[in-house]
Amino acid sequence: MERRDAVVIGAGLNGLVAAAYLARAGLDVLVLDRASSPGGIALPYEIAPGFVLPRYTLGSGGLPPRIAADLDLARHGLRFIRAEGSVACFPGGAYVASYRDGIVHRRELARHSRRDADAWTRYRRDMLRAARGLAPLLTRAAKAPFGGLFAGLRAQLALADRIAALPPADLAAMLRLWTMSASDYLDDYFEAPEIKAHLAAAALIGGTLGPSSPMSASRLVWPWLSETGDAMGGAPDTLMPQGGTIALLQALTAAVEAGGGTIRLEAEVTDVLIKDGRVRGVELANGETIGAGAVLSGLDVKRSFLSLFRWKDLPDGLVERVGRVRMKGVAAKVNIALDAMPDFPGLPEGCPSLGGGLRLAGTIPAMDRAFADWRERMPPRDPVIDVLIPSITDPSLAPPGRHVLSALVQFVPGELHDGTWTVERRDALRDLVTARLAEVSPGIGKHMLACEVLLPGDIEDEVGLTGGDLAYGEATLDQFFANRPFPGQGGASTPLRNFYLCSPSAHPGPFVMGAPGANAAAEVLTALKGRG
Amino acid sequence: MNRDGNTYDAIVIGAGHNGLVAAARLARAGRRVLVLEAGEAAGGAAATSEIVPGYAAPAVAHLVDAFPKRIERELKLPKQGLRYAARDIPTVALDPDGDHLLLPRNRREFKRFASRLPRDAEAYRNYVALLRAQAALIEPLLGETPPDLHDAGALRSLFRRLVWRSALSGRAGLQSLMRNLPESIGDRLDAEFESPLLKGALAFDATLGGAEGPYAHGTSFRAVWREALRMQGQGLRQIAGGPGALVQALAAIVSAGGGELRVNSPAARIFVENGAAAGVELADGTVLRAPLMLSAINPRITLLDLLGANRVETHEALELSRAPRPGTTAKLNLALERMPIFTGLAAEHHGARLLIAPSLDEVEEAASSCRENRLTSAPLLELHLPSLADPSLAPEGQHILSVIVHYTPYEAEGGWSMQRESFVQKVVRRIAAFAPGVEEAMIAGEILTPPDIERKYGLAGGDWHQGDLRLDHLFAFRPSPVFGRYETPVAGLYLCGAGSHPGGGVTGLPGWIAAGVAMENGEGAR
Amino acid sequence: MTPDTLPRAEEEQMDALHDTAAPANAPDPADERAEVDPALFEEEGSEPPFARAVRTTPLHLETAAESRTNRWTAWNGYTVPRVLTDLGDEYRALRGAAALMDLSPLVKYRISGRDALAYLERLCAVSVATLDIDRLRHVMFCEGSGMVLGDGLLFRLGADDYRLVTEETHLAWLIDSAEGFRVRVEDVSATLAVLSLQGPLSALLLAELGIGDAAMLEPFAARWIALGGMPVYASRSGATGDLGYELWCDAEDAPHVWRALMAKGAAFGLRPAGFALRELARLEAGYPRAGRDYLSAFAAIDPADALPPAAIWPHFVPDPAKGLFNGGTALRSMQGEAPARRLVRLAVQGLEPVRFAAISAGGAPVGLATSAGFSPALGANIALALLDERAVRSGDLSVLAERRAGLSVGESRLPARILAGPVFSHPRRFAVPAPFRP
Repeated sequence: MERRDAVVIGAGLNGLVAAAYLARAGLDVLVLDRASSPGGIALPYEIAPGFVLPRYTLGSGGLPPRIAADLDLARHGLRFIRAEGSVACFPGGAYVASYRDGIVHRRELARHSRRDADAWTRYRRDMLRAARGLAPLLTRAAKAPFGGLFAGLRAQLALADRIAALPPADLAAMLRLWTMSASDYLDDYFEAPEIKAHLAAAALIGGTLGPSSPMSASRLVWPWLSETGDAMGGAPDTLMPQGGTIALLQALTAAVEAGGGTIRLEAEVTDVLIKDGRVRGVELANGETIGAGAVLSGLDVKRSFLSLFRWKDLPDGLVERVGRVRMKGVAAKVNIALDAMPDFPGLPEGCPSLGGGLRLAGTIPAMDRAFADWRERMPPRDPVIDVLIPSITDPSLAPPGRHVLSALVQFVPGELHDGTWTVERRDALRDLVTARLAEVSPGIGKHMLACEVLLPGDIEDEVGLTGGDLAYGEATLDQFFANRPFPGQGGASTPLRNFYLCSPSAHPGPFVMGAPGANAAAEVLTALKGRG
Repeated sequence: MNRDGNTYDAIVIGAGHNGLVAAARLARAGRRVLVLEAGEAAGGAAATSEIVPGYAAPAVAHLVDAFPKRIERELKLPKQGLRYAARDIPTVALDPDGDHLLLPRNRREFKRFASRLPRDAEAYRNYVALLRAQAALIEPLLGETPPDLHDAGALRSLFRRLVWRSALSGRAGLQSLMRNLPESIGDRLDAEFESPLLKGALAFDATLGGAEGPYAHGTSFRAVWREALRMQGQGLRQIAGGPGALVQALAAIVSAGGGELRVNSPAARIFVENGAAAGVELADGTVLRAPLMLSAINPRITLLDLLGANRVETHEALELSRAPRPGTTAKLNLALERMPIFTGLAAEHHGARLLIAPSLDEVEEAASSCRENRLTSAPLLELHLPSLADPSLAPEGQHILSVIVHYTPYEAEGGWSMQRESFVQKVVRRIAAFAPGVEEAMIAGEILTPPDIERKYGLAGGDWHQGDLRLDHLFAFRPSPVFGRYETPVAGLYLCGAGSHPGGGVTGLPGWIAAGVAMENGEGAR
Repeated sequence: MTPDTLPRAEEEQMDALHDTAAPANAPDPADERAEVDPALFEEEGSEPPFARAVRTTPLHLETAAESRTNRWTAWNGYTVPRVLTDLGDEYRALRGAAALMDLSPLVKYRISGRDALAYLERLCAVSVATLDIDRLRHVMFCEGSGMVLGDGLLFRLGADDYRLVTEETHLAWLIDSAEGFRVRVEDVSATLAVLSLQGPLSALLLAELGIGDAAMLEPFAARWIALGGMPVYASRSGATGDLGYELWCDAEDAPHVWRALMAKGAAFGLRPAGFALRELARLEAGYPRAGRDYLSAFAAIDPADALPPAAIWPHFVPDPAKGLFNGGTALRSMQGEAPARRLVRLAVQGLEPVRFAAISAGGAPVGLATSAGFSPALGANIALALLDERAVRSGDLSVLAERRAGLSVGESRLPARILAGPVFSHPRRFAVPAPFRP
């Protein structure tokens, strides 16, 4: 039987990051993926010859520079491009753009409210303070202070002391951020409805919360976790890998291989081998078994436990606990190839923020309605559409002069209350999206070479992501920190010895790309060191 | 001290039950107290009102479950005539098919519950036990002044006490609390139970008074909070003569202490001399003086309108100026010429608290209608027949049905003036589905929509709870971190309404604790 | 945007436009909402925010005509000359004769209404109740935590009419603070130009222009005058440590005022000057500048960067007679505690530039030089520096400066000492010039 130090299931971004960290530490790592190319849900995909975009995800945002530096990805040819904030377009022609430059950004806000332009300073301060408080928590395992009786008690007392020592203002700020709704929170800073809607929409994409849902405010912080977010006084920017996801995957693959790791494609893991309560290896679809000192799963938490194991092998109650994790699809993916750069007459010519994304949003009440529709499992009437034209920043993604457009349509239910997604309903959704796009870019229909819509159900069927939930489990406070992947089980390690989760189902979730993989690798290495 | 007609030891603004509890506590301590009420009668949201002559109904709140024994005893309320018409009232979830569900209070009832819902019985027992363990952790904090946020030592010992209490209780209360706190009640119930009726009833209880639907995050905590408040009280009770009798008993204590209650006397301004509160000027220009002032009305109105913005720092004012959330509860009182008979309901349970919330889906449906300002045709109701235990409320043989309507929008689509009638019809039709013939028995009715409650009782947004139960506005953060301990920037002025810890409900606690703080600080002492 | 909010917002803007179009600028007593001057948007037109990095001041053509160096700098989003001819010449004019500077990028708010005084008294950390009409004083304002948000000059223009002039914008805080007051806050930055006429001969120049009543102004006093045929509000102010005046006028009138001064000024040695001279003069006079020497508490990402007033202005103590004010509760409880860090004036040996250089004491880092420059008055490099309190007392400071020799960059430690007072503070600044005393 083949034997490895560690086996990673799934060659997605996080799986590769984890494998690269482990390989760099000298472990003999094998990455297995059932697909014929690496990528997982970030799978790069040619919608038409020469037009490349990620098939299931929006594709903005990049790896944190820290991980890129740790894994020496620059040596493997990875370069980043900085993209300005984003633009939100509202029905009726109003728009709000974000700029990195504080002076320009405030001037933009002043078009909507002079008062709000000044309020930005305080908002930015509070976001950055929160982000700085949060950042260290994301790069280490979030362990619940509830271990054994005495250790648990000691940890709880220490936590109590730490919270008591916080200045009252910080305590109040923390409470507000983690309990309020995004809409209430923004009301404390801004008055212009467009500005509030712009910030709220950016925070809600990919999540299962509406702008007025309690506890949605904390999502406002995520864009600020970008390590260079505070550089220029404006909105946080995003770093995009040059060459798109393909380049990122290539660099990560190279990093795994440079460390002596192996990536084996078209190798589907069907079972995780367990003996005496310990995970010993994996079994492939072709019957081959591979022994491993540690198995890391890049699949979502439900698939990891409910489909890779025989349930009777799992500890009591685990199936129920995993079953209770909320995973629901919220977004449909629309991929479009364009034969020319679409024209946006409502936006100023050359607006640099377009590179960071375009959002077709309504006001906060409109987003609340869209969210309510989703909750009632209705086809969207007025969705929030996040559009990225990655070829603006990175022309290599499409033939010269042509473009790819990637859109995430927010608040699309996976299942409908009254039946299934019929062909007519799919077409209606596509038409709705193209109609909304045509509102801001009237001629865009003429430029479309190809267009396809992927519903949450399609995403589930194609890559096996439960519910098609791109967040790998709702990222709300009761499923976060010490409660992610599931309550009482924080971090990458699981109740099964030698079995780890390295997907965004584990801490810190979908917000920081690559961080779940990096955290899982760190936990594996710590455990190995402990064993000597 | 000059004791002319306009000088008192203390002035309490707002004669709701919290204001009166504060006034009564001061009066019992020998203070001459003036209670000012803007409306026509004392009682605020806890009053008894006449639908038509001869038919008296609880104006808004109809039962008490969280009025502490301690307050009752120390104020000697039974001596003032406070009686209960019924104690330990059961709760029954009404089933559309007549197979109603009594939420068990004891072993005997649990047996019946278990035979009715065999698959949920054990889960229910565990759920209630865990809920109680969680509530027991915070319960002791509800009856006392919240800790000083600036005193790290006090906070530290408080948190450590919590940790120890949780460890000793053996139920992992703190651990589960931290997990359940951000959860939605809907998710929690879905995971525990199968019976839609049970889930509907428990979700109703957890969400009543708020606008959030059962699947909104944080609603699970509301169930814990409500349970903790109940632990302060003495079980679900009905006051003889309606809640107004409690108000009268409290007012009697105030007058016995030489104080008085003035109705139709809205305060216009609180004035300050030498940095301390000195008195109130009424809207008609009357000047009333006292070295101690307690305000039971909305904190924002107290501080920004009555005291004046120049006595409050900007950051403090900003905390208060967030728009109030509109209330979502309406009240309907019906005078019935005969006893309504609920199909399938045992005779002894007609005096119970009856819930019409047949399933979690219906609760969610009602919440989403409310969000869209629609009046649902399947409203969620809490019903009580006070005249059964207290026949004095209505002429002999006739009855009062007191109805609380959950998830009633503050603004109704098409305007309340247009929708009133159809709203009443919808509610009555819903009741009639469970108690046929109720329409024919109706003699008169009185409806209070959230805007009516706002107008009639001066509660901003018609919200009974003066700043509803938001996780960031609890304990020392209620109404805001600066005013979380009843004190204000002006010496001698205190907040004592439901806007302060521990918040809404007929508990008397904010008034009780605030009066204690005021006396402890020695202000108002001769 | 919901259909019912859109028309209302537009209507309000239209109303606001009518307000400013009306010649009488008196605030409408019925309108007691804090609001914003929309004129700024008209000026920007349809140009997108990113298109033009900086805007021009009303005096741009005048200063551009005087510029021999074409060195410009951005200040509050406006472009202003850094140096017009030569900093040395400009400095000699300032200290020996007179200099004229365009300070229009300063932020100016008009605060009016029945409660204006109560509002300002609560806003500012110093008492403004005693400020008479046509007088001004330096004020600072704090967040609730007692940390400084900004400072500026407060003018009392009329009974209920004030002007607050600051370095940075504070509109959100000013409007938020207006809640509950019958007061109106307008941003008049774009419509109000400022010319700063500074130097020992400035009074004589004004007298020569026939406005001796301006020359007779006492320090911190102001009055309306006519200059070049234009109505100008002249104040005895300037932050140069010397005699000087600031002239406030309508943006459209500003070029005429400038030309009138320049026409008569040549005979007195008047020179136009740029931003560098303003910085040097305020540094010699020892005045900190918001945003450079200290951060507004709203901009302090690291809580340690927020400073209480006593850390910036050493003589600040909360006035015991003053009632409640923003930050007052916190400041009064802090009273008696020395701030952890504070701003000091340094003299640094050597000639290397030391701006934003680290300062160490006995090898340990203790602070940062926030503003620095060569002071001709002292004949040495001077700086404003934010230092740890213990370092202020210990002495033995050195500044880590870059030393460039050809292409190589080295570091050197330059000994520094703390100065007791400002480098330049002439007695003239406290008096009415002799010829004009009554």
